[in-house]
Amino acid sequence: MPRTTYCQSPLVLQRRVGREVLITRVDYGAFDSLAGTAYDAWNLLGRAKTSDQVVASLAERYQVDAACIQEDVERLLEELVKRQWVTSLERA
Amino acid sequence: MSELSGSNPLGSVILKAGLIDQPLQQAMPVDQAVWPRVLAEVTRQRLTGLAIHAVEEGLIALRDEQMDELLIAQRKQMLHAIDLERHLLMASRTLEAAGLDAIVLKGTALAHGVYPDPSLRPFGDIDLLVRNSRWRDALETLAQAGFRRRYRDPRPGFTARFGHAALLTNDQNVEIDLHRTLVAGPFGEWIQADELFDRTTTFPVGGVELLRLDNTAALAHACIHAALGYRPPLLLPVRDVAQLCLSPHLDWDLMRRWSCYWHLGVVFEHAFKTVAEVFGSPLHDGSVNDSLMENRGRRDVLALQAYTSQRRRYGGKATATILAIRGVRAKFQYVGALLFPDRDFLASRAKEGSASTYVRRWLIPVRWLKKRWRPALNEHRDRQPNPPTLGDPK
Repeated sequence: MPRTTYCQSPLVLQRRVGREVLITRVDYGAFDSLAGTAYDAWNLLGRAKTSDQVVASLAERYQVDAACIQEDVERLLEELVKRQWVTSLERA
Repeated sequence: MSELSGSNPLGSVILKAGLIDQPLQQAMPVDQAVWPRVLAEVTRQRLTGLAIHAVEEGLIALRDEQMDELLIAQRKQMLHAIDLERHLLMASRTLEAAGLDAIVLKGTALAHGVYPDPSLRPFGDIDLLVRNSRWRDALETLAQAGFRRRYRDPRPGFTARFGHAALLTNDQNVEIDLHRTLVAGPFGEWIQADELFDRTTTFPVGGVELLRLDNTAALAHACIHAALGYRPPLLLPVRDVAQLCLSPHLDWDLMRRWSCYWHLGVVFEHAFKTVAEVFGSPLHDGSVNDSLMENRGRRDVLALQAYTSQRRRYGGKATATILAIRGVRAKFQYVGALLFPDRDFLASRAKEGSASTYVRRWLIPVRWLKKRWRPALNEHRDRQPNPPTLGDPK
């Protein structure tokens, strides 16, 4: 079954401000900001990861049940892909 | 007195953050009474990223409201930095399309290529170095992309022959320093900047590989910036020198050659001395310093003083440049352009409400001479024995 991996897009221009990251692109006229758990998820995506791997890392970090955050993490990844901050790749 | 300098404990802790282990008993608090001045200075010196890092490392203890203010200052600097990077990518694309190589200098290059996290190294403009022979082409190409020169040349072609860079701005006030060499003045005359195109590497920004100086050439440039840039030196260029001193793949033999052929030995010594003062100890083997200084001459020392002493304020750089320029004809061209600039240049330099005349311009070097010689004359007068008076017992 193919697995989808997610990774920060190389086109992103980013800067960290404490526990917040500011992101933009050359062709994007504004900035987006990721803070809190979204910031942690973003940092995990510096290297390609599956959504399960992101969920497991965040669950461990915040000491919560993985099932509780699965849906939120998937929604976040979907949004990041939609805004082209993250690239997704199907792997066999 | 500044609330932040390399010699006070807070400045030292911030400057070393993320570079050198700092065993502290406990985090250093910042008194609320001095905090506004500390924040202003940290912001002015572009040390917000390093200050946040020092807090994260537990070296500085800030109150919540102090931390919030520091984060706001860092946010502003980071937004500016990534906005500049956006313009840098567009400018490099334009230059590349015109067949022009450009090396990214200082801020962006160091932030991405040398510092472990670009958030630690804010910057306020874009610095690009192009080959001397293509500098005018680059100027025209960037003009087509909306970047215009802010200042006129005293005479056409002055910067292309004697200057170090042109400041370009666009309608969004983004600044590009388009360099043909690394520094203004005598050292700029001695440095063969085109040779630096053989000392480059690449770094990625926004999916594009850009050229930067390799670590050795970047260290030489950081020393130049720290030693000859501002007086007193800003702390961030000093940190750049320290960061590069501890970076891998440094070619000290090449630094020795540049010390000799480009007269940079005194500049390196001055920069390393400043780093040692600020960091409390040298960051490299002391014998390296001695070998860099082997070939220094009196002319090099005088040239350094044109930047680092009071002479800087009174035409020191201009007079030192005359001595460094090769050929009598070129020397006359330089002096001629400064003394007899074209009318448009004079008008652009006139202060509001005052007329621009050649006489006013010629009075500038006269004032320099008066100010430079006054202390010497005073000293000479003080050394004269007091004339005898009527009340003198002799």
